[in-house]
Amino acid sequence: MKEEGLSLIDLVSDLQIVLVAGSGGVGKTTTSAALGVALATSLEKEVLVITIDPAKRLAGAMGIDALSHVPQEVQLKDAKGHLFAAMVDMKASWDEMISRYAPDKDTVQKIVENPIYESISTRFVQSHDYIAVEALYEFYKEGIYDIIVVDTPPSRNAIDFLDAPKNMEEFFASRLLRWLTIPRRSKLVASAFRPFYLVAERILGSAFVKDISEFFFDFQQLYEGFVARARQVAALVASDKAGFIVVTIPEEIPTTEAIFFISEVARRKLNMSAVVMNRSLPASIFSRAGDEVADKISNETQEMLAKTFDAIGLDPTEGEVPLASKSQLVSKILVEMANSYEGLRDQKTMEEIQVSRLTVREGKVFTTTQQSGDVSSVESLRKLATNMSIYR
Amino acid sequence: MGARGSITDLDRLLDRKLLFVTGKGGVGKTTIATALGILSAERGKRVLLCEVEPKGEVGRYFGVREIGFEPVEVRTDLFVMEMDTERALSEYLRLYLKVPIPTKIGPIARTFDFVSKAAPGVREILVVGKLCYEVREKNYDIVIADSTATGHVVSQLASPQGVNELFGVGLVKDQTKWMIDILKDEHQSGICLVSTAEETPVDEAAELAERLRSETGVSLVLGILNKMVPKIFSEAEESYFNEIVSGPMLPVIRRVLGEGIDALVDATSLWKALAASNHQNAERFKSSLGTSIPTIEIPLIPGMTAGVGIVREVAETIEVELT
Ligand SMILES: Nc1ncnc2c1ncn2[C@@H]1O[C@H](COP(=O)(O)OP(=O)(O)OP(=O)(O)O)[C@@H](O)[C@H]1O
Ligand SMILES: Nc1ncnc2c1ncn2[C@@H]1O[C@H](COP(=O)(O)OP(=O)(O)OP(=O)(O)O)[C@@H](O)[C@H]1O
Ligand SMILES: [Mg+2]
Ligand SMILES: [Mg+2]
Repeated sequence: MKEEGLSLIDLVSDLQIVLVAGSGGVGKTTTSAALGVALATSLEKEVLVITIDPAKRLAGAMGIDALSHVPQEVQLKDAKGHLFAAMVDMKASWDEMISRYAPDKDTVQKIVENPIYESISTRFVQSHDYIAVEALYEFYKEGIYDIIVVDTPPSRNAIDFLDAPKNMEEFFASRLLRWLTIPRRSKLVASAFRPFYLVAERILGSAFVKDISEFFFDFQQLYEGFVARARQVAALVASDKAGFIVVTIPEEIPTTEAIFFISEVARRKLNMSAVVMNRSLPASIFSRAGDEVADKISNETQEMLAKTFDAIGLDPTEGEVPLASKSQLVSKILVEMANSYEGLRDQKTMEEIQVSRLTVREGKVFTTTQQSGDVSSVESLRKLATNMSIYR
Repeated sequence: MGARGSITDLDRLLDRKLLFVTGKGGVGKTTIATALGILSAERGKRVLLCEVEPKGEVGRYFGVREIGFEPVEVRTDLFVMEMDTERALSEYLRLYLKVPIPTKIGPIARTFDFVSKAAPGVREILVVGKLCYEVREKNYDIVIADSTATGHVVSQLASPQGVNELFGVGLVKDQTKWMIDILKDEHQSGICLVSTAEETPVDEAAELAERLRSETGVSLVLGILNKMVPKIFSEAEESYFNEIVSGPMLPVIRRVLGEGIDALVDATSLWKALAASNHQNAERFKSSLGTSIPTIEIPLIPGMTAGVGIVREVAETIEVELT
């Protein structure tokens, strides 16, 4: 159901950055990759897709792996442009970021070797969210790509991603962080903080408190670099070069999250490009005639159906099954067929309810159809991409 | 259900004191944890169901809006709470530090909440510690944790051991041993790993199972494949279906029933393909968990909005599957 002149590609082709968000498991990675394929196929542009934790086979198909976060070209047949794909590696990105902002090698060493760095680099203050935006900015600055499509990490709330730069900045500016590093900054802990440290040491053990304190003292030296970058990243995301696509599936909870995301994007005056309803069922399956036949089958008993077929005589020469049980079998199969049809139709009804909730907020709802197997080859991405159509 | 009076696999599952339900986002953790809570309560147990990453879902299932850290009895013997690390911390400080003036806990707790965000293991151990505490104090017959998604749950379950090793001395360290005793005892604690039968969720589940095994020492006791598109045909029926749609029978049927039969053929083909793909991934899930861990399948309940209806049906399926 393509509407004249309106495709998802048109909507995002003038952007330099497309951020693909949505709640866990809805198909963010798949949609980002499919969009990348579509953009590089139809536009004379250099397109980069930054993915996070893609499915193994999909990553394999696109020729990227965990070992390298250097963009790799994805071979596309008959494409006007070029597609590149990269994968964000949390640990490596953290290491890079530390070396970028630390004043000297010594500090890098001290931070990286602190026993708590490892666990901090993988989970503190929504570090995954932040790293994704950070990686985007690095590639953007290189200026090699015309369009960068960014897959966002699975997070409890899709919105965490938007807050990542701000949270990072707040973390560094917080008074608590300064408190934490006091033991390191002055041997004589100011008396106001003494109760805190007494309790801390009693609970956590003094060695551990010292590790933490050391770590954050070193870490704070990255403050300026970090904060400056966080602000640039936030400004880029807010500019009209960037647009959001929010992905959902025909279920209530992910759609509620998508709606919330849309309102947050608006509240922050960011640029919403489109909503994608992934795993939409092809409307072409359902028809009034189909409904009628399904009803007919469901309303009749299996025996009655069998009798009908006995009466007209289903080709007795076909196959090895004897005639009598043949009509039994046919009617049993027909009942299952009616059930499948009705099951999918109920699913479609649910989908329409979710779509109408979305269209109220955001006119531009696109669909990508439910595939009958996993989406794990460039070919299946292309298929998904060509099916992207506006919902009506 | 098995013969009246005989012990079923479900009884054995729910005889544990502490169950963690985990899996990738959106696979059905909350639905299944809630179903297990209902089944336990129906068996006369006093149940604590805890939403570890609260979104208010569990409360919604029972039509109770404001659920917080204090357990609320949503139906007979079924108590529901939402985890709150700050509150868990104040409770902890009160219990172990005997901080005399309750008002002092406020600022200290806030500061600690901050520290715990950064300090590895602290936040996690507060969560696991609270759950283990309820078990140790025998406040409930069973504690069911609607746990966090992939990855995070490993750091939670591994936290007592990790903290024990990482921290020199201190109160937190002293408190880890009894937790480890509860967690590592497979008769007391277990993990139910939920996944849908699709590529990424199964990959992640396999990875998670491996990490749970090697990093936490808490036993995986049940694999659950949720939202399965069920197979509709036996092998004989399947080949006959193919024969019907490709042979001379279809026109006959079309004449009898009408044009719309073609729509049913399309729908059935799609259904079959989805079921087959699900089935394939289900096999991968099972083999990655290994034969020693039982796996059950819960069908996709089509066309329903989220909520209570699904929980009820999921509970019934679990009951049937675990006889
Ligand atoms: N339209 C579709 N048809 C069939 N399968 C799909 C479709 N879209 C996504 N999938 C499958 O769903 C699973 C999840 O998709 P994907 O990894 O893209 O989601 P995600 O939103 O990136 O997840 P996460 O939140 O974990 O990052 C994959 O196995 C993928 O192959
Ligand atoms: N067997 C099923 N058939 C149909 N729908 C289901 C089934 N199980 C769960 N659902 C629906 O899927 C959605 C996600 O389920 P649920 O909230 O239990 O997942 P979750 O793993 O707890 O998600 P999250 O990671 O976001 O907390 C809900 O809308 C729920 O009603
Ligand atoms: Mg993803
Ligand atoms: Mg949940």
